[in-house]
Amino acid sequence: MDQIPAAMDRHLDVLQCHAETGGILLGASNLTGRYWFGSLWYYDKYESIPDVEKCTAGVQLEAGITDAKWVDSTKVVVSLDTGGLALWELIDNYHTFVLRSTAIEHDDTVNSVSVSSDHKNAVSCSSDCRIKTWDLENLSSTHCYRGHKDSVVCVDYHSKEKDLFLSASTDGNIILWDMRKPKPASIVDSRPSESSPTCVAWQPESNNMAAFGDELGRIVVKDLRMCTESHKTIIPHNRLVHRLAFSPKKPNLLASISEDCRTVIMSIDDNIIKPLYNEIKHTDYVHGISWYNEDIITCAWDSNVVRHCIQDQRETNQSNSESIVMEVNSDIPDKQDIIENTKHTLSNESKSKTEGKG
Amino acid sequence: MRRMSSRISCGRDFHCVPDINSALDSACKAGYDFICLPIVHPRFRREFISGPSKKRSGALTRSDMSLSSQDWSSLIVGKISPWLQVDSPHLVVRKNSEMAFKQELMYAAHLSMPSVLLSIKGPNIVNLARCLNEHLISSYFQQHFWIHVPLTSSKDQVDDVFDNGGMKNNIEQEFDDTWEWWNTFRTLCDSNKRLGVALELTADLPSTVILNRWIGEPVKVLILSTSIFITNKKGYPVLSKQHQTFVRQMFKLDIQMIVTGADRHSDKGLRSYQQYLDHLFQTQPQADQIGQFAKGYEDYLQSPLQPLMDNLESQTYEIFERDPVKYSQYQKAVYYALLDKISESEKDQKKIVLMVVGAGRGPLVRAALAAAQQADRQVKKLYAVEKNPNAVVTLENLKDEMWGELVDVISCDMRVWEAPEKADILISELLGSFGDNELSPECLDGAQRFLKDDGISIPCEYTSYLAPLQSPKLYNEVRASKEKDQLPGSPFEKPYVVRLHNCHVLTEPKSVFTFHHPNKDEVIDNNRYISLEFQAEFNCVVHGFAGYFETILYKNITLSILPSTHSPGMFSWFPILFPIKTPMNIKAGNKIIMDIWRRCTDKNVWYEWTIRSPFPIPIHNPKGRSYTIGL
Repeated sequence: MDQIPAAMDRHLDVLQCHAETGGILLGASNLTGRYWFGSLWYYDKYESIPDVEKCTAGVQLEAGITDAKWVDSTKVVVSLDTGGLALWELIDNYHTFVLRSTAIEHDDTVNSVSVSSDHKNAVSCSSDCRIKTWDLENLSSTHCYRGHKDSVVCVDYHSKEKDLFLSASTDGNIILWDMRKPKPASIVDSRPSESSPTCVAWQPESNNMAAFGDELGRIVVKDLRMCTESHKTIIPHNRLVHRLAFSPKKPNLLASISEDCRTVIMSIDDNIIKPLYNEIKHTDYVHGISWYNEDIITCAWDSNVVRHCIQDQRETNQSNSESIVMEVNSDIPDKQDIIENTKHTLSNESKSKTEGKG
Repeated sequence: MRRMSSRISCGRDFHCVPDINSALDSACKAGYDFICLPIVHPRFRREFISGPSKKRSGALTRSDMSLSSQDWSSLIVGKISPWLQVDSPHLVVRKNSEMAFKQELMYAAHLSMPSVLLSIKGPNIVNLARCLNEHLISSYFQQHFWIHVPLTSSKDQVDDVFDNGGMKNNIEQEFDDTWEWWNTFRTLCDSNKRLGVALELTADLPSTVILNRWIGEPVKVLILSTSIFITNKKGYPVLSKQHQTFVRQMFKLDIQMIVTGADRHSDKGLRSYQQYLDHLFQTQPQADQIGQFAKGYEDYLQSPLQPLMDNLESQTYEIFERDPVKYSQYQKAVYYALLDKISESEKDQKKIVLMVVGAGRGPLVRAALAAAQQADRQVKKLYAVEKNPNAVVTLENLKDEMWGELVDVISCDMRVWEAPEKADILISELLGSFGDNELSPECLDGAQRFLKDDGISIPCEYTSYLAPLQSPKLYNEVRASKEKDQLPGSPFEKPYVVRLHNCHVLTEPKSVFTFHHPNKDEVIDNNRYISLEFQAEFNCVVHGFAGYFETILYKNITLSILPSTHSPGMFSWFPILFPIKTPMNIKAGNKIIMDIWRRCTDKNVWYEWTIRSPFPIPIHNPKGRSYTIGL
């Protein structure tokens, strides 16, 4: 327990619930102030986050944290501002973090990390334009690819195919990587002259469906086998989409978070994307998202963690969903009004505990 | 003037700085002289337009109290956030980026960072240039801005990993010329002197032609990623031969280095990169004789001497008399001329009359007498003609002490002197960097009256040369050389003698004007006009023309300052620069056609010049309005 930091870092960047154990990882960074460190936390239930007193384990990191993924029920791979990855294991019945291995091989911030469906490999992507694959056994890098022309912002392994992953870059390209091929990369979406993608996610249970978010708040869902023209577009945000998350249990549900501070949940059925939930419950960029049973939980740079229940909005705020622009096969409109919704700003109960570190 | 240093100044680049003090300590301990770090956390995006996050509270970045102001202003290079897209086509992204950019520039100025580093990643940089330019002209603090440009674009650095045809088209596209990005940026900012290039060496280097163009640019820093280092047998990081060659070439621009990227030789430590770079610096070949003589004069503009109008000073004579090559060539020329004038069989009967016109403090007199002794030929009389009464003092003293009756010192202008007898050999050194620009033709035309019909002039011929050059540095030097009571633009209407350094001569020089002596033309006319055509092999900018000359002293004895035939070790002449008022962008394949005139009146001589193609510009120095050489 000695390792638990005295205070929570201000900028909550990462949230990951374990699908089976229900345990929740929280990653936080300090992006201003004297020290730009980060921290990794484990909570056994949602209600405790982000209370420092109520975590079961917590550890300070050498720098800000950008992403974390469960490898199995106790191990987690973490990506850092240093350009490094770290493999942490929870021992003592989730009460202590132990650093199993670490490697700093990227030349710039690692923006995201993903774990293969067989839990043996990981892939990381960085602002150094490179993608690296890793053997999780000892965290040794197996491949390094420079396929993008600019910062690579997101990677995501396929949920069933252990050799497939997607990457998204500021260069405008989405690349599908198939590690079985000698030349593994193929561009599945390219719009360098338009807005650049910021995040990417495979749809679970499907073989070829994936969603991308972009810097303008647009989300595209498409079948990767099809040509670029056949896709569905929705614009639920008016700022950069930071992360997308499909529900592991109901793969037709997609959640998105954005720098417009909104959290959106939508359903994708055949040719229709239907918004189910669209709320501003944070006062700053929303950076962490995870499904938590039927609901999603989010964390943000406002130091808060919020639980979003689809049912809530369906009942109370039916009209809100109509304001969402939804289009199929069309481009983004030039300008979109910003709907500020201050009604739902949460009270900031934990704020006092999050300040004044260092 | 160039700063001398005994070791290379090398900085360490950090993309992530959790603790500024430990970053600084670790870099200093590893032998680095400064560090580059983000002004604001590179992931700390901000909202300035609308939405809840616009009201975010808290500090922008770490406090200025984290370091002493002394450290901020001497050890820290600030980096602009990587997420800014000041040239985004999307209004919100662009506007937001502009405001964040301004915020970071202001904070960097507040910290008095000596330099700020910002990257350009493509040709789309016009709005970035506007924003920075606004900051440049509105801030009084003399902060420098290093524009990070890679030698090859990121598109050309992509691995061959593509399975489908998706990337094929891209690969087949032509090479991205990153110099064009910089050239656009620099031009948009009016070649502001506070802008420099931070040139990133990439794993693959472009062709030599492309690389050489950077030598004319204000490159302040080379950025080397640890990823381009290879490992030698002992496990230390080293550079490939190609990279070494380029780095060595850039040393002459007095650059600094930045090492970026993860430590890829962790057993040897980060220090090993710095040590290797310093090793390259220490083991560079010593500057040659001319280079050593010219130290401190690099790119320093001097007005050409006007020895006819002004009397040279003792110092000036002394510097030029030190030339180890010039006078030995003159001695050789006189030697062969003497042998031709008097054959072996006549050597006891015939005596020769020599004249040195423009004798100065006597080096040519000495050379001529030594030649006669060496040739074993008798001199009847040597007339040393000099119009500078101060130099005559030296000559008279030398006559008293050494030469005696053999030499007559004539304190008179050679053009008006009435010689008591005609000479066999007329020796002069009246040449300027552009050959005829110190009015050697006019002087020798006047003096040839007292040369025998079969007499020899040493030199007997000289030719000037010109080549277009690219150098924002020299352009700025000319622009800054404003003098009082001058017409606006007149600094661009005169030639300068300058040791060309931070400059790229774009083509082989072409011959311009030739003069022969003695001039046997019925009517002597020293007006000249020529149109010169140069072929541009690559995209470039013309800032002016580099001028040189070559002279035949006698038969095969020559002097030259043309780069291809430069007399080894001779430092008496630096090249000459003919500037133009507006830098001209040239495309590969363009013909650069330059016209130049030599105009003479009874009172003075001047040059006029212009470019007619690819774009015409006004004639420079019409009627000698900004510059003439007085007779």
